Parts: sequence; structure tokens; C-alpha cells
Amino acid sequence: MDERRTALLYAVLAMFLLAVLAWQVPVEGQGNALLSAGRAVVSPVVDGVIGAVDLVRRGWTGYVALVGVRRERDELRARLERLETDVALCDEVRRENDRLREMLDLVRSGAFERALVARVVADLSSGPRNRMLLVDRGRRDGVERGWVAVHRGALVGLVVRAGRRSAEVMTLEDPDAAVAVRHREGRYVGVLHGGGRGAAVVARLDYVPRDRPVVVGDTLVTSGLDGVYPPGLVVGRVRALGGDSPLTWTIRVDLAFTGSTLEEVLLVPPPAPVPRPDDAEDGR
Amino acid sequence: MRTRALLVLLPGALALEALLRLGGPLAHLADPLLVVALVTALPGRARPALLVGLVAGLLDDAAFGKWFGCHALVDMTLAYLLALLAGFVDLGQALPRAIAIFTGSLAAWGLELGLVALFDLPPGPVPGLGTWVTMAAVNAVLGVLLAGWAARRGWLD
Repeated sequence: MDERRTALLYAVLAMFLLAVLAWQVPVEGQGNALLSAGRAVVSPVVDGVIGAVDLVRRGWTGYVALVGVRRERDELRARLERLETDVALCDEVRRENDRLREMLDLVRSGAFERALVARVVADLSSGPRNRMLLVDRGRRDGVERGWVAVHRGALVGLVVRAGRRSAEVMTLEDPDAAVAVRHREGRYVGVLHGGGRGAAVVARLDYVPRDRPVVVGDTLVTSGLDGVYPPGLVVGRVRALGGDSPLTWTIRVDLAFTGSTLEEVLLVPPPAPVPRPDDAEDGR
Repeated sequence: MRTRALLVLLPGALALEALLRLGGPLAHLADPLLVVALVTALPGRARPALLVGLVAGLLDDAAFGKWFGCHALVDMTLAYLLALLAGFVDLGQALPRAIAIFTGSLAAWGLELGLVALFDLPPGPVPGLGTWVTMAAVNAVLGVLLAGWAARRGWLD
């Protein structure tokens, strides 16, 4: 025990004397050797503490930044969804605007007088044999039975019933529909009957003589000879030629519109009836 | 060694070293203070040896040293180590005493060189090996004489 104390005493005295010696030895730029040694011993500890504090600080800063980034990401995601919705709405409005502008141009061109733009509010079709649309214009707007529905210059159908605020339009897809047509290039005429046979909505043109020039893709327009539809409206294109008769064609026609895709139609009044000679004489 | 004896020997050694240093070339002929410290360690008691070595070295540093504490550390260390060695080796005869003091004196030279190297001190204050060997031999003779004289007076009990 005494030897240990003596050894400890020696160690303490030796360290003290070394410190005294170090205190006397100058070290350039660092005071003396004792301070230099002290710094050499302490500086790694201080560096470690500073490094640890800096690490914690950077970690905390990074965490806070990450939280901020996450919040910003969520906000941007929500904003992106809103913007995508707005873009979709804007696109829809732009398309609607284009359609309405096209109809408005048609009205301004003088092709139709007293034309009205009507919005398709319902599809009343109950099957291939009943093709009806409901539009939001009625007698209050001047729409009467017999008005013609047009879409982008193509014939859609006929108002068969006019209510106060709405009207029913029988489209050419209906099997009961019929329209006097003219081959645009050949200028010969015929009567086109509505589609509805089976699942396919394809109109047909019967009894066209086989010597008439007609090929698939030819355009048919209204002739106006029926006194119901104004002339010049596009009805459809020739899809196929057929028929059992060796003398005439039965032409299948793709209509120029598809009822299920319509959103607006232009309602135009029927052509004014031409007075017959008897009526003229009566007027005289 | 008894305190009364130390009160005589330490000042005497200091005076002798002063005389030697006055002699110019004889400055490093002997280190009487180191001899007193080593002789004190011969009985094998570590703590007294350590304290006497410390006091002797401090006297040397205070009187002649350039770096205070250098001789104190060296003398204290050697006295302490010699006291520990005396616990294992019989240093009661003249020859072992002479060898121990001679070796201790050489070790003092090594320790001083070590301190010079440790603190990057100019080597000027530390004499060369030849001078130190001579001094170690003289120290050994002085130490044997002092130990015999002190033993006869009972100061080494």
C-alpha cells in the first residue's frame, strides 16, 4: 500500500515537474509547450464536440428542411390536382366555345334565319327503333314541331314535339326518319331512311339505279324536295353498295353525326312552304 | 538517511558543485547533488529517496539550471528507481554501490537528453558522452566514499 502511494506521489511530482518544464519552453505561435500540449490534448475533444454538435445541428436542419419539403410537396400536389381539374374544365369550355362559335358563324352567314342554339339535355332513345334527343329549347323560345336540328352543317333530325321549355328531336338514326337527299356530285335524288335495323345505326338509300355514278365515300346532302328539311345539309357518306335487284342499288349510309356524342344542336325553322299554283290563284 | 544528515549533506553538495562550476572545465567533473540523492536511495526506502532527489534537483535547478525542474525530475526519478532496485539487489558492498551510482549517473545523462528531445531544447546545456562517463565515474567514487562515511556514522539506517 505504501509503495503504491509512493508510486502515486512520484507520478504526481513527475507530471508536475514536466508541466513546469513545459511552461518554460516557448513554442512559436502557441505560447509555451504546456499550452501547446494542452491544446493538442484538448483540441481533438473540442473538435469532436464541435463536430457532434454540428452533426446534430445539420441533422436537425435537414430534418426541418425535409418536413418543409414534404409539406410543400403536399401543397404542390394538391395545387397540381386543382390545376389539372381547371385545365380539363378549360379544355372542355374551349371545345364548347369552338362548337358554339361554329354554330354562331353558321347563323351569321345568313344560312339560317331565326336559328337557335340548343343544348342536348337528355338522350331519350329507348333502343335502336327509337332515337330521340331532348333539347332545352321549346315553344317559349319559338321552337315548334317541324324545326330542324343541325350540327356543324350536318342534319341531325326533326323536332317532333315541342314543349314549353324543351323539345324532342327525332334523329335520322330513328327507323321512322326519312329525308329527301341528293348525291352531291351526281345530283340525283333519293329518299334516305333512318337506321335502327339491328344494332348497327346505318341509314339506307333504296332504289338508286345502278347506272348512277356512286362509290363508297360519296356525300349525300338534303335535297329540300320533301319540304321538311332545308337543302344542302350534309346527311352522310356512302358506306356500302348492295341490294338484290339487278337494276337498283341499296346504299348503306354512315350518318354525318352520332347522336350519343351531341352536346349542342342548332335548331332552325323549317323551310317556308312554296305556295302551290292553286293557292297563288286563290291569293290573287 | 536522517534529516540531520541531509541538512548537512545537501548544502555541502551544493557548495561543492558551486566550487566545481567556478573551476570552468571542472564544471561537469561531478554532480554532488545527484550523488547525495543516489546515496540516500541505497537503503531501499523509496519515499525518502524520492523526496531527497526532488529537493536535490530543485537546488541544482535553482542554483545552476536553465530549465527549472529538469534536474529535479531527473534526480527524483533516479533516486526513486534506485531505491526500488535496492529492494531486490544487495547494495551493501562498495562495488555494487559504485556500479549503481555509476549507472545512475549515466542514466541521468540519458534522461536529460530525453527531456531535451521531448521539449526540443537546444542541446547546449547537456555535456557530451565522454564528459558524462567521466562524471559518472567520479560520481561513483564520491558516492562510495559518501555511503561508507554515512554508514559508519549510522546515517544510512
